Amino acid sequence: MRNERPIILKGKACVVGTAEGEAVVIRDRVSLLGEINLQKGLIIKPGPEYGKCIAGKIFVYYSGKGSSGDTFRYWRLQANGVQPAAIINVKADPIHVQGAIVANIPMVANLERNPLEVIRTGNYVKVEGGTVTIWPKQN
Amino acid sequence: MYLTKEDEKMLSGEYGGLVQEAMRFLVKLGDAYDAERMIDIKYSYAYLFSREWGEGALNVELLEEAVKSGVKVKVPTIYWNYGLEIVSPRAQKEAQVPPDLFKSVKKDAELCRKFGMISVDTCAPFLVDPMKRFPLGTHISSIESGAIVYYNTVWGLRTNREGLSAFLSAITGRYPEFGYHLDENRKGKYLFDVEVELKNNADYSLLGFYIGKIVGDEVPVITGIRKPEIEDLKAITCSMAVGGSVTLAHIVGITPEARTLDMAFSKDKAAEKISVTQKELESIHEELADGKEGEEVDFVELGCPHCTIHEIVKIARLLEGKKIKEDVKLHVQTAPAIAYLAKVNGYADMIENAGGIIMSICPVLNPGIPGPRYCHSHPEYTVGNLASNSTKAIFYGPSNANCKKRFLGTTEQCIKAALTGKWG
Repeated sequence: MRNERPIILKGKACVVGTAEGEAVVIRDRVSLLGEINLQKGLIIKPGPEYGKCIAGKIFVYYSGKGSSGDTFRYWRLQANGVQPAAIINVKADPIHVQGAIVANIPMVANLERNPLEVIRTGNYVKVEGGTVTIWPKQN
Repeated sequence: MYLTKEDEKMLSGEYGGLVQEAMRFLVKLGDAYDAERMIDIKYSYAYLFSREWGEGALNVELLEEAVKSGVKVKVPTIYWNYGLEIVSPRAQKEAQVPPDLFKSVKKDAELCRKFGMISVDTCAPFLVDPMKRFPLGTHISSIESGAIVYYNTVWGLRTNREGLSAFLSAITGRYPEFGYHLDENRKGKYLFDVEVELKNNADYSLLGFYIGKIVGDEVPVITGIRKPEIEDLKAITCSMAVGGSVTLAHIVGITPEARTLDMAFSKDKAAEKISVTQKELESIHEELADGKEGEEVDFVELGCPHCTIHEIVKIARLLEGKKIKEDVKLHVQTAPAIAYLAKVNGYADMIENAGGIIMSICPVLNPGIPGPRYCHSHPEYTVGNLASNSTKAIFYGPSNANCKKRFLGTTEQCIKAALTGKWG
């Protein structure tokens, strides 16, 4: 099925910015400590996305969890040149918002529809402030 | 967001670059949650960890410049720098602290002293600095996921889950009003009735994990817990932040805002009751611990979160006149201030003579320690088969310490495992 029409969702821009790229979706909470390899930006959380890279991608996940040290870890990913292009969360965890602020990574949450039900890994996604545009994969 | 004249002055750079960037950061954080204004905080538990800072508007040069111009924290501020591994040669050797890390810790200690901060180096700061008496509902700003739940739940203070923001709000004395600072976000969403008798703090740890897993980041209300000790409250609050991302729980009869069940909920909202029996605790035990009786134990970890002095006395007595099995490691984790008490009272020697060691960092969650014994950056190292009385230690064991088998039980069971090298 060819789907020419992009899906547009409105949400809250936690960190205002513009970015686009391919989505990597984890349908769960994410702790950057222990679930993301900070040197290479690889997902080491067990699950279907294990081993995928978040560098330059639109990183979509439910919310943050766990360590309050995660504030530093988007900064670390940035220092290693492997930060995501943007972050889309269902709910914004203050620790991950702070990480996105210091590393200046655009971040959106509280979308009108659950992004985990709309965005699939590999979809092309654009973030502009609080607006998320999704092009479902064309076969 | 509404800003006072003083907020505007900070934002304009009148008090220097660090205060300005701190305020910019806090305004951005507030904007992310549509905060309407800034509020005063009265206390902060922060970290600096300047070695972790990256590039950008907020940077390490600003710290040095602020210290030179005499910037101080605006509220009493405790912080986490490193720990016992800096003051105890034995712990230092065990942790294999690399010289460059040692140097950066010393540098941060100097900076923080000039800011007027106090290092406590513990995941249980409420054990070390209970000296400040705050009225119910006082706004504070705290790091450390377990301590955040403790402050909100047991002391009735108000903090969100903080990171770098804790330091930045200490420097400005301000924080955006959102989340758990607001009455409407502090009401219960789930009701748990604990029917099972909780016999030890491993049970409290299992219960907290179970509740966290169900509620995620919502507020649980818990009935049926009678006369918990401080160690039990430490275990349950911490594990709720591991099983889920809990910030506040209402333990009816304990939490100041929930002296009665009605106080814990909004008037118009009733929650369905979830009964907690032995079965629920066992299901978490089964999920987290895969080790079986009779299997070998390599590493025993007690003090997650950090031991009270009373827990250390108990461990010392269990070890008195005994030796732990060769090749088994026993880490008893606590705050440096409590380790000092253990030392001067002779309990530290009792533990160390038996072959155990008192540490303040831990193998599963530590502030970026690159030593080969700690596995975030050394995936080739493993703690082996890990035993603990804490769901937090056991939960993070595989991802952060490459542990193999996991055993979860009481303090007595853990000490027995350290003595025999076997579980059960």
